[in-house]
Amino acid sequence: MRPMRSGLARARGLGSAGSGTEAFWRQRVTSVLGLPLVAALMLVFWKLAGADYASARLLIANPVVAVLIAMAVLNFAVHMRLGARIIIEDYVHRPVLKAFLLTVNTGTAYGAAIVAILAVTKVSVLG
Amino acid sequence: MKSFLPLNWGVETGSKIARGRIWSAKDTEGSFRTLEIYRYDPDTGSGPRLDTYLIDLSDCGPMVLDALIKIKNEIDPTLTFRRSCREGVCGSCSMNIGGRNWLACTQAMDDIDGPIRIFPLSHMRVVKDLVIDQSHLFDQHKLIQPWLQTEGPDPERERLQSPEERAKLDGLYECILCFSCTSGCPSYWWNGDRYLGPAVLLNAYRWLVDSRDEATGKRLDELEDPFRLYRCHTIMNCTKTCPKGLEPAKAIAKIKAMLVARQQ
Amino acid sequence: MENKKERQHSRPLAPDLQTYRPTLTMTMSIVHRATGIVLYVGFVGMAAWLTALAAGPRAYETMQRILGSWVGLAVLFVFTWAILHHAFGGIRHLIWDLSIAHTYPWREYLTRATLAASLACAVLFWIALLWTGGHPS
Repeated sequence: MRPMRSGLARARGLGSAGSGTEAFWRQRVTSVLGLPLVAALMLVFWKLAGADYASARLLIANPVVAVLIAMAVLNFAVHMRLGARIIIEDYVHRPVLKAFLLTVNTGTAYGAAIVAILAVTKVSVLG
Repeated sequence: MKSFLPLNWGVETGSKIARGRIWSAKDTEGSFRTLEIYRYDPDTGSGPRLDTYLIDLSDCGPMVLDALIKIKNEIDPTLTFRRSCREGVCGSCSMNIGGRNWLACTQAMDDIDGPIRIFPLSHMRVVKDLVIDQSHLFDQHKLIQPWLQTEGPDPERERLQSPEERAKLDGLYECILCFSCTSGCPSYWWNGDRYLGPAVLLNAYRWLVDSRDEATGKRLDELEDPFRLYRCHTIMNCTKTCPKGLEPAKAIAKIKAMLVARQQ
Repeated sequence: MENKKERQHSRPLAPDLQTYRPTLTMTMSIVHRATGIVLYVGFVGMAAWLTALAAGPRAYETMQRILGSWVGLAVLFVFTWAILHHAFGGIRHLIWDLSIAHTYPWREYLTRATLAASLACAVLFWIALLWTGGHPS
């Protein structure tokens, strides 16, 4: 099918969406906040190595640890959702498949975050 | 490692490269160089192939373009490629040489080991041999409106600009639109229909940062798009490959900074 | 004879990954993306781990047994390296966002530094982990 549209019209497409800066900035903010948070998480991971059930629950129930984990979960859920979104947009070009994967992405990222935060809350409240 | 994938892996059917013929120079004395050059003739109906040329260096200039011109003059006049200034200022002879996008006229043959593999600029539609279809690239260039935009009447004499303001254009105005950078960008490979690419974005920045221009906001509005601008993931192939030593990645980073600044 | 526009669609595509000489920066870029994907999976795994902890001792002990196996430990090591590489790579991208170190040789030094730092820190972390008594259960 020979293209009837001019090259300039095809390059212009549907015009500028006027967005993208918000996501770009949010990705950078969650990166910067993520650096101390990931350091804290690795410290917690260290303390958890080889720990038995009781010690593990004691550690996670600690309010400072619980808060740090919750902050990290929230921060990285946003960060990874944006990152995965970029990957899907880069490689998937079929509109329906793209929309579906973007939805699965949001669901997984925030779903896992909610599960994690609720689990931490349960341990924190129950001890 | 020469490349991430072997030559014909993951390639469209009509784009697979067959082995071509071997051409040698008339008298074969003196030091030799082997050039393996991508050939495609749209008039024959067969697909692309890789021809091998043996060049006698004793009466050939040092640059890859010298070898290409020698081949065209003495061995195979059908070899087709763009070239003009032969001194690195026109941008015509950009191609993939030894795995890197560069200008043939400023690429010394001595700086490449082994057979010199020459392909058209990466991931571009090929018109013939080393000549690519640049229409989309120039359409994208047109899209950013690369001209001065002002309102109101023209001044009596020149539009004034201080030396400091003029200095901001250094590293941007020198772009010769050879598109080595754009055709070396993996993001452009996968999304070149919508992503503008480093060359066009560097030129967009050139106008964003020109103090005489009055349409900065409108220009930024046009660029602020998840695909036009934000397919850049700072992969850095562009700055690495620019034959004029420009920094498209930095220009793009600065555009992103401008967009953040106007939101905060 | 085909017309010009029809020929446009039969034009071959010049090779890209098949001929482009791999650069350290583009390789590190794709590794940054790969570690990101690994971490996405790891995040879901972490949510599973926390759920096992909240669920009770049996769930927790099953989880720890799996993680303590040789395969589990190998996965955890790779995961640790992935976190560190993605974090250092992220710093590299933030530095580039600030328009710093774009030119040669700083660009290359920065890239090499992220790779070296991530490997070194991963190894050091695990040595410290095993040293201070963390042991497979």
